[in-house]
Amino acid sequence: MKHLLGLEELSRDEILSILHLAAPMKDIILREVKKVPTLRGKIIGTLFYEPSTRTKNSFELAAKLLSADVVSVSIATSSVKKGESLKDTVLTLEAMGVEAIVIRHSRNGVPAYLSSFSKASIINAGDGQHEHPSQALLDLFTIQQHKGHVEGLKVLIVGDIMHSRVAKSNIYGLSKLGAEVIVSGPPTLIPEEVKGYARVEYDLDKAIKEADVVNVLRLQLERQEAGLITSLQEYHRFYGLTKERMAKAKDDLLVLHPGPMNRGVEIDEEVAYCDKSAIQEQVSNGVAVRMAIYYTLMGGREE
Amino acid sequence: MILKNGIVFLEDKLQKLDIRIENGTIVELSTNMVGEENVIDCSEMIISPAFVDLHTHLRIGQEYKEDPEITIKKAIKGGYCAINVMPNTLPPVNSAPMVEYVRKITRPEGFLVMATGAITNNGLLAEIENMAEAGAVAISDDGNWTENSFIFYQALKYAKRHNLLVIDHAQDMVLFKSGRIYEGQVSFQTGLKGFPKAAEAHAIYRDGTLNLTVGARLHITHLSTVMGLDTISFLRHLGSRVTTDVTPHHLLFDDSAYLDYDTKVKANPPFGDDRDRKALIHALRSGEITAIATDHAPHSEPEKDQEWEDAPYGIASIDSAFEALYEGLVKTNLIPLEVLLSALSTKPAQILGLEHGIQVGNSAHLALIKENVPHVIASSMGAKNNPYVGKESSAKIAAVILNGTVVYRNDQ
Repeated sequence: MKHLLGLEELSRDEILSILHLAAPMKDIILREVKKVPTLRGKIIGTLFYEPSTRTKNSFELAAKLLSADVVSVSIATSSVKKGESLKDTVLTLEAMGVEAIVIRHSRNGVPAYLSSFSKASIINAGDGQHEHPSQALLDLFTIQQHKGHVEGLKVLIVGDIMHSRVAKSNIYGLSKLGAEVIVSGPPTLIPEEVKGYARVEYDLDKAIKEADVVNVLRLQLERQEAGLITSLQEYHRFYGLTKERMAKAKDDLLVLHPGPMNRGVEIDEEVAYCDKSAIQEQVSNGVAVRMAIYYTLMGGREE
Repeated sequence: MILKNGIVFLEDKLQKLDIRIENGTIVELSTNMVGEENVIDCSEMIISPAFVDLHTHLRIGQEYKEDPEITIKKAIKGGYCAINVMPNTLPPVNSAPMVEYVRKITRPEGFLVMATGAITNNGLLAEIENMAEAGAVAISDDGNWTENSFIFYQALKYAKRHNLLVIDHAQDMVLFKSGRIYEGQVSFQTGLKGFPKAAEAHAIYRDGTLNLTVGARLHITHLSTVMGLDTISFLRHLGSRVTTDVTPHHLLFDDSAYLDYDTKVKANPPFGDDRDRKALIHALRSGEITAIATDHAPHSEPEKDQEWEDAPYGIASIDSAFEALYEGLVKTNLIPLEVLLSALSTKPAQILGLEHGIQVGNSAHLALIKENVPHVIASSMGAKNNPYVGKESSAKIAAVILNGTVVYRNDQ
C-alpha cells in the first residue's frame, strides 16, 4: 500500500491488517515512555487546508510517537487561487525530503490529485464530502475493541449522511467487514444512492432499538441557511440522540461521535458522557490507528 | 478541378460520384467524369460536406487559453469549414462592433466565422437589433441560462423579428450552482456535489413554452439528459419548433468518467449516466437530435492541472471530434456513418440557415475522409484539454477543401 486515499478502494484484508496493527500501537500510548524508534529519520508533512484540531494533532502526535519528524503546513482556506500553489507546496515538501503527506482539503479528490504526481505517500485526512478514511478506521477499531468483532453487528449512523465524508468511509469500511449499516436522518440529508450500501430508517426511535453501535454525526449548523433543515430544535427532536431515546436502546449499545459535538443538537450532554459512550476513547484510538497507518505505508519500505 | 471516384455523401446517402469544381463552386456531379485539368483521385475516400460547428468558444481576450487562429486551424484539421462563436469572450459579444470583430477575425479564405450575440448585458437585454444588423446569426447567454423569464421572453421576440437563432444553455442556475455534477451514484462516490437532472428539463420547459406564442427559432444546445429529451418531445407535441444538438463528449462519456477526478473531462453540462448517454445516441439515430456541436472550450494547462473542483469546465476537441465519434459510434455500429456526417455538416448548417451541402451551385466546402486507417489521435497545437488524444481511431480527415482549394492535407 502506497497511499491511503479512501476505504472504498481498500480490501477487507487491508483494513483488517491496519486494525490489527493498531492494537500494539495503542499499547505504546499507554506505556510510560510513549515513543518507539520505528520511523526515526523519516519526515512526515501535514498539510491542512481546512481547520482541524483533533485530526491534525492526532496525525502529528502519531508521527512523533513513532519518532518521525513532522513538518506542518497550516493554511486557512482563503480565496487565494489555490491550484498552482497546492501543487507547488507539495513539490516543495517533497524537496525537503518529506516521505508522507497528510492532506486535509475542502475539495473532493485532492488526495487523488496529489497522488497523481507526488512521490510521497499521500494520506487522506478528509477531502470535501468524499472520504475520511482514518476516522472510519478509528471508529472500526473502537468497535472492535468493545465488541470483539465488527462482522454481524448492526451499526446505525445518524445525521447528515449527504455531506459527511465520515459517514461514507464508515459505510465502506463497515460493509467490507460484514456489519449491517443502517442510516437515519432527515430526508434532505440522506442521498438516494446510499440505499445501495445501507438500509435507510428515517424513524430514529425504531432504528435505535435494533442497533449495536450508533455513530452520531456532527451537524454543520450552516445546513439550515442552505435550506436543508428546518430548525435545530426540530432536528434535535427527530434526529438527536436524547436520553429518552437511549432508554429504548439495547443495554450494550456503543455510542460514537467523530467530534466536535454540538451538544443539545445531535447529541445530549448526558448521552455523550454516559457509560455507553466511547467518544473520549475514540480520540486515543485515533492516535493508535494513525500510527498503524504510517507503519503500513512507510514502515515496510525500510526493511 | 475534378474529385474522382470518391464515395460522396449526397442527399443523406453515400454514393460513388465524381465532383467537378470551378471557381470554388460545385458545377457538376456525375459518374465517369473526364477532363485533363487537376484531377484528384479520391478512390476509397468519403467526400462529405465540410463540417459546421454550431457551438465554438474562440478565446478572444483570453488568448493564453488558445489563440483564435489556432482554434480555427484545429477546426480545419477536424474537417470544419464554419464555426459559430459563442459570445462569452473578453469583452463579451454584446455589441455591434464585437459582432463585426468576430466575423472578421483572421482566418483562411473560405472559412466562415459566425457570431452569436449575448442575450443579456448585466441582466438586461443586450443590443440585439444592432447585433442582428451587424450580421449576428444567433443570440445566446451560453455558459449561463437567462434566468429572468421576462427578459428571455422579450429576447425571443427580438430574435423572431430578426430571424435569429436562440441558442439556449438550458440549465436552472440555482440548481446548477448547488452542485458540480449530476446527482447520482457517481456524485455519491466521489463526494462531488450533485444537482438534480431536472435542472435541464425545467429550463427547457420554460423556454419552450415561452416560445410557443412567439415562434422564434429556439435551439437547445448541449443536451445531456433523458429528462431533457423527453421535455423536448413534449414541447414538439405542443407544437413548438425546437431544434437541438448534443456534444461529442455527451455521446461518448458517462459520469463514471468523473470517478478518478480527471479534469480533462470536466464539462458543463456534466455527463449523465449510462442511460442518458444511450438515450442521446438513440435520439441522434432517430433524428430527435439532428446536430452534433463540439462546445470546443479550450483552457490552459495550469488551469486544468489543479484540484478538480477548481479547474474550469470545458473540453477542447474540435480537431478530433470526428475521429472520436467515428470510433465510438460508427465503428461500434451505434450510429450509421450517414447520420454522423449529416449531424456534423448539413444539419447544423440547416439549423443556422446556411446553404450548405454537396449540390450543384453550392460552394465547394468538403471534408475528405479515410476509413480503415488505424492511428492514435493526436493534437499538436493549442489547448490540451482534449480527452481523445492518445486514444485509437480508425478513420481520419484526409483533406479539407474550402471554396475549391485544398487547405489541409493529412497524408500520414
